[in-house]
Amino acid sequence: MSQQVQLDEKKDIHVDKEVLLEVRNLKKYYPVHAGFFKRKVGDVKAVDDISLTLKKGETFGLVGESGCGKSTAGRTILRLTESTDGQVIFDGKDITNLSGSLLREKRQDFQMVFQDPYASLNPKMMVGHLVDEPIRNYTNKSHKQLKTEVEELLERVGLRAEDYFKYPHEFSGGQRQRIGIARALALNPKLIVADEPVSALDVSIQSQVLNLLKELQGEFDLTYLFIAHDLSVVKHMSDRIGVMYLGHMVEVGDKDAIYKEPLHPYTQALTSAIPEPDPLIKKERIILEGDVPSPQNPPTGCVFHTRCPVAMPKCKEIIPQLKEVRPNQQVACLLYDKE
Amino acid sequence: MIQNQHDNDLLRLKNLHTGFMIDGELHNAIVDVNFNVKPKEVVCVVGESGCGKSVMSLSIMQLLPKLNSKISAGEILFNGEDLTKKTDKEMNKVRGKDIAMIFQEPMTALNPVFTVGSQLQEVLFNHLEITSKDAREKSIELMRQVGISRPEKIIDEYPHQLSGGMRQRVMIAMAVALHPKLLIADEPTTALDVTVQAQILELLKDIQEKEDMAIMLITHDLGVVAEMAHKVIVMYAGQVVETSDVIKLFKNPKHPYTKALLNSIPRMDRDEEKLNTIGGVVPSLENMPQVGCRFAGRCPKAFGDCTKVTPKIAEVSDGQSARCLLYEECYPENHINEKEEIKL
Repeated sequence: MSQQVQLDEKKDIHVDKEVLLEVRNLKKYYPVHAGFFKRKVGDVKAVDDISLTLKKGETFGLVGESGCGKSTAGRTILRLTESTDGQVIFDGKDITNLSGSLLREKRQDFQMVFQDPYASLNPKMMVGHLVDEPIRNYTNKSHKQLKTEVEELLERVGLRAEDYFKYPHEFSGGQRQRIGIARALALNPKLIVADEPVSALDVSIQSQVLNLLKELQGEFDLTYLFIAHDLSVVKHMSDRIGVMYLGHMVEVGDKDAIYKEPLHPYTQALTSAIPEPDPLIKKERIILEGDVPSPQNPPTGCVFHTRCPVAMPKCKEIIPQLKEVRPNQQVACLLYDKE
Repeated sequence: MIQNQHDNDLLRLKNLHTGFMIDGELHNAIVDVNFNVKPKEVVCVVGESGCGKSVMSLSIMQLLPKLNSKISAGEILFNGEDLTKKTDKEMNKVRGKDIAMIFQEPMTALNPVFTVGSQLQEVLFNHLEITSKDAREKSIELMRQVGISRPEKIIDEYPHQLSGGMRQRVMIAMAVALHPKLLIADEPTTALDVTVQAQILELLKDIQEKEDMAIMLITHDLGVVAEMAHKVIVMYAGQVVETSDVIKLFKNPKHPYTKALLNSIPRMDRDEEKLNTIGGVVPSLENMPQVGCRFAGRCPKAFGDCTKVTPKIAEVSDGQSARCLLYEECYPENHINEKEEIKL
């Protein structure tokens, strides 16, 4: 493994063939202005120093409660919002500082599927045009060519070719999400960031969309960054999972490790809080006190210490760093700090 | 005999139909809903969006707009009294006092321009002869009961100053203020995060035990059902398709819809490559099939009769009723007669 990884000395970039996306110390702060002169009084640290690596063809799940920064992380990685600090290396190329046509060129390779299929499609556009819009942006294909391509895509995601002439309001939530997926697939991307793709859908529809995403992954050779708040959905979809809390990545590991032997107290509480659909399972439940603190004024030290059932005095002072505690399982918690 | 069986029911819906006017025509959103809630029982109503769970709960509370909706048939018996026959004034005495309700989105259920304290006290003033000083003290006590820390301070705050979980606690405090016998909770945790959801569910269980209250919990989350329910009612497209004891429901669901629903959720404790799915979508109110089973179009086990014969709900095994033609019991009476005639 280490031989494959060579550092390009000039740019300090991995040339590991296996890795599609590498995020290093990504930060996204939103400035807060207040007062008469609207002076900057502080930052909302939506994403604070997260790093992750995605191998080709794998699915990385990002979980956390609302406001933990998982969506901001996804959007910042795709450069839909500008990062404050850090590096995003996509397919061996640093895209953090790309601009203009170079960035546009690269954008073909990473697409996004959004949460709300009602809000993310333009209601005035025909489905056919919604799906061929990305292709028209990048190529000069004839109208006829576009139409056949779009029809193929529509059929592939489980819609009908006739749907080309319909408008988004004629579809149900699940079908709209399929349109969104077709649109993301149109340019044959390498990476898809799916931001809560099923949370607006009913259970029976949710399973259809999840199955579709899994099938497409094999077929189109896709790598997913799958963002969701529902741990059981994330576990079903992902190979590896990252757990976020208040802008920090608190634990990263294989999905089974995260579910069976979570190390971070927050992950433990999160997995135990999920109601299991079986009345005979009686879980030992860890119930956390209170709510997630405001990211504008996060606690000092470990951000979780205010709700942590096993917090120690030093947790208030030291910011824990992600460390590999078990093979393929990293955790940011002072409990596992040997020194 | 049948009379005795229902004697101690707290709430009993008999053949309830509620409809909405669409283009001058009445379309029933819920059809033939029958079930009962016993005192101290936790009954969960599950179903996907649009299946009529909320319409049913609003019908019980008589909170549906009179302008475009109507309870077209059936009875709602609460402690033996039919709520559908009550006037608005009489209902006002029942609402809040005997039956209380909490809603999905606590931000929209609370009035943003009043402090939470004044909204809590409003409930007390409406139903009790109480001085404002006592009302304030009682509100603080109630807030402490539902686990709000620093209630003396929170009482003077506005809803926007509280987090989602806190708001839902305030709603619960308002609901249980007058010790209702039945609490209707319409998706009380859907808008909340899992760790907060766990807190609220724990609180509801706690209060239910302390106050000896019955809860009708409406949810789409089968995990919540497994955790809270004694009895489960599964709804599909405006009908009750299965009622069952909770353990039997998860162990041996009777209706194909319930089976499919249970199989389509990703499970934490299992590894599956592919999830089971239910094809198609719920038919809309205007396109509801008039004859036959409403699930027939999506059902993996549908057969010839399903589109021709309308099943009725019947007990198919001990403690479990279903509405499905796979069970002989669910054929309507006249149909059985016809069958027998043919045999003869």
